Amino acid sequence: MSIGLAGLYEEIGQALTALRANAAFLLRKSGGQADLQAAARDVETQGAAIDRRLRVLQRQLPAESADARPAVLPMLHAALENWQDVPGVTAPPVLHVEPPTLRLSRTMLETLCQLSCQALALSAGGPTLRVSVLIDFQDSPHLCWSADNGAGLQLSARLPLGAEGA
Amino acid sequence: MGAKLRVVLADDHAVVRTGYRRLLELEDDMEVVADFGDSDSACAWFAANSADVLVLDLSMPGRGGLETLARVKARETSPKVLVFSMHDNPAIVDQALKAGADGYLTKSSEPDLLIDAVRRVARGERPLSEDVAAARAGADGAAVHAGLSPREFEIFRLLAAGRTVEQIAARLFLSAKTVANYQTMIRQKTGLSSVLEMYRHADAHGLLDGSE
Repeated sequence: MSIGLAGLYEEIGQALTALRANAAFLLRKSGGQADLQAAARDVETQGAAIDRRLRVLQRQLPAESADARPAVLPMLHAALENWQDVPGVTAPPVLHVEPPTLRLSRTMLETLCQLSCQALALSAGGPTLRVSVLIDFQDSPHLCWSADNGAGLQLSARLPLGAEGA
Repeated sequence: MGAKLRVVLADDHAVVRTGYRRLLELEDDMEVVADFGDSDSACAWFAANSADVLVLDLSMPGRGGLETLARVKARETSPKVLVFSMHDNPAIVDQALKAGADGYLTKSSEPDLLIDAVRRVARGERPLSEDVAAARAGADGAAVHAGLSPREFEIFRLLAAGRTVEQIAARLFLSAKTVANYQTMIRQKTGLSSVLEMYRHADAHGLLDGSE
C-alpha cells in the first residue's frame, strides 16, 4: 500500500535520523578503538548520503506521482461540496477515508466520486450523509466504499484494486 | 561547571527519541529530563515542570507541532524551543519561527549540529541549519499562505487535506464556530475559496506531509 511519497520519505528519513544518532553515539563511545570508530563513521557517512539522495528524489518525483494519483480525501470533499443544493440535506457530508493520505488513480477516484455524488442525490430526508472509503486486504486487496444517510439509505460497493494498488 | 541544561525531547518516533536521548546524555553540560511522543503529554508536562530547551518535532500526532510550539511558548516560564524536523519547506519554517521557535534544524543535519544547536538556543542564539537557511533565501515570500498566522496555517493545511470543520475542531480542541471563523479568514486572506483550490495550492507548494 502506498502512503504517498511524502509519507514514505518521512518514515525512511526518521529511521535514518535515528541511525545517524546511534552512529554518532558509537563514535563517541569507541574512543581508542580505531576499527570501531571507522565503522561508526562509515555508518554516519552512508546515512547522510542516503538522506541526501532521498531528498533529491523527493523533489523530483512528487509532481509526477501527485498528478497521477490524486489524494482521495480532498477530491471527494470537493466533489460533494454542492451538498447545499440537495433538498432535505441539512448538513455537509461526513467523509472517512482510511488511510487519510490514500491516493488512487484518477479512474478509480472518478468512480468513487460518481458513487458518492449519486448517494448524495439519493440522500434527501436524511440528517447527513456519511461516506467511508477503506481498504480491505482480505484475500485480494479491495476498496470498500459505503454511504449511509442515517435515515435508511445504505449503499456499499467493493472495488478490486488489482494492479491499481492503493 | 554550572548547572546542566535541562532538555526535553518531543518526537513521535521512539527510535529518534531514544537515539538522541542517548547522544545528548553523553554531554557533561546537559541532561534529558523528559521525552514525549505526542503533543498533549508534552504540553501537560510543561504545565507543571520547566526545562531550558525543548527539542520539538513538528509532525506530531494530536494538535500537531506548530500548535504545541505556540502553547509551550505562551507559558510564562517557557523553554527555548529548537525545532528538529524533516521539513525544510520555507513556509513551514517561517510558520515555526512565527510561532516562537528559537532555532530550526532539519533531521538531515549532522548529529553534532543538534548538540551544538541545543547550547546555542540556550544562550539566546537562533541557529538554523544550512538547508533551511538556503530554502528560506529562495522562498516565494509573496505566496498567499505567507500571510497566515501559525494557527491559520495549521487549519489551512487541515482544510486542504479535506478535513471537515468538526474534525479540525476536535483535533485542535476548538469550537466548530471558532474553526469556521478561521476558515472564513483563511479564504479572505488567501483568495482560495474551495477545498479543491486549497488542496491544489497546498500540494503545489509541498505543504502537506501526510500528518494532516
